[in-house]
Amino acid sequence: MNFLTPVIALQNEACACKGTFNMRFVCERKTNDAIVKMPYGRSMKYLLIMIFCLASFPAQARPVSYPGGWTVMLMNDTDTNSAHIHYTLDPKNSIGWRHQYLREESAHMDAIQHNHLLKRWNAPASQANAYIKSGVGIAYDDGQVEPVAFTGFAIDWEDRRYFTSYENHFFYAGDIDTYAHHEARIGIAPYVGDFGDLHTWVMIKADYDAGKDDSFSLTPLVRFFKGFDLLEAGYNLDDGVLLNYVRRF
Amino acid sequence: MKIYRFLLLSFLLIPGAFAGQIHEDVLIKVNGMVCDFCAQAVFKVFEDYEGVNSVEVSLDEAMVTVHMKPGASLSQEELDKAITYAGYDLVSIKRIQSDHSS
Repeated sequence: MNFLTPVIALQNEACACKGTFNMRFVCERKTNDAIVKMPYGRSMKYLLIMIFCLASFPAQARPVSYPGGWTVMLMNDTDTNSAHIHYTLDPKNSIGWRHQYLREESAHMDAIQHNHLLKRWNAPASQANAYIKSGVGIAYDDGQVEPVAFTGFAIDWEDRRYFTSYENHFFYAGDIDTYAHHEARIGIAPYVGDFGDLHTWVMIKADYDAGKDDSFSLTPLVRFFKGFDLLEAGYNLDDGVLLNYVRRF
Repeated sequence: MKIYRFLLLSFLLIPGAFAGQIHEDVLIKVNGMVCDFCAQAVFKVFEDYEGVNSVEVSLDEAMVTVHMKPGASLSQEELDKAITYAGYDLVSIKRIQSDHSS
């Protein structure tokens, strides 16, 4: 498995931002060392560290909203289709239902999901968040039912121009499917709008899944949001379409 | 003559009807408000308070402006709680009071 190509691809993203984020520069230098010195197996470790450093990261939208608020998240990509509806109990916790269709396994999953805001950093011109997202439920395909458990950590950072996020997802569904998934995003807003405007972001999403043949993929995408609606559309370089929609109530 | 009395009475009574109906605008400077989609929470949080007439948000100024109904007010604790619930940190509060006759 050649991990060098994605490393270079992400390294180029870092170069584009050089001078903007000091932390990224440091990570990039470490990564350069890794590329020169490390064999492919060990470079994977550095890839994950670099993804984490490069993308100080928000996921699709806050998994914890305002207390009393409902959020519907519909996510569709190469591997899965999912629907997640959650209700925010307090400023740090939301709970909801997730349905997911695992395309490769032709299996479904239903689970109760809990999202917890670990920490929020509010600065005058930026915000960062760290979350834990976990759930339990059942997965099923033709004649087979397995218990499901999953958990993941997500962290994000954004200002009004730049956006980065990273999240991982460890999923266990017995014989149906078990995987560890990592996702990182880097985004830039071509213009900075004020409240109520249509906001546009251009992003690159990197996915890594050790258990799959095509373990690494890049998806360029565009994000729009206005009011309580958020829409994302992208096209994977492996011919996969990404279409996400989020609405707050 | 009746019309003059009516006009005189109106001049005397109408300003008096609004006297004491002070309304307050609260200008709240916040940290962390960079995303329009997330800032929608500000409206949802403040709509739970009966005394709130309307809310304005400015991402450029990192400012939430709460227009109160005449005679209504929110304490600093209530404002702090509302801003925290919306996902931000309250930095400063400025209260501007005016009455309808002005």
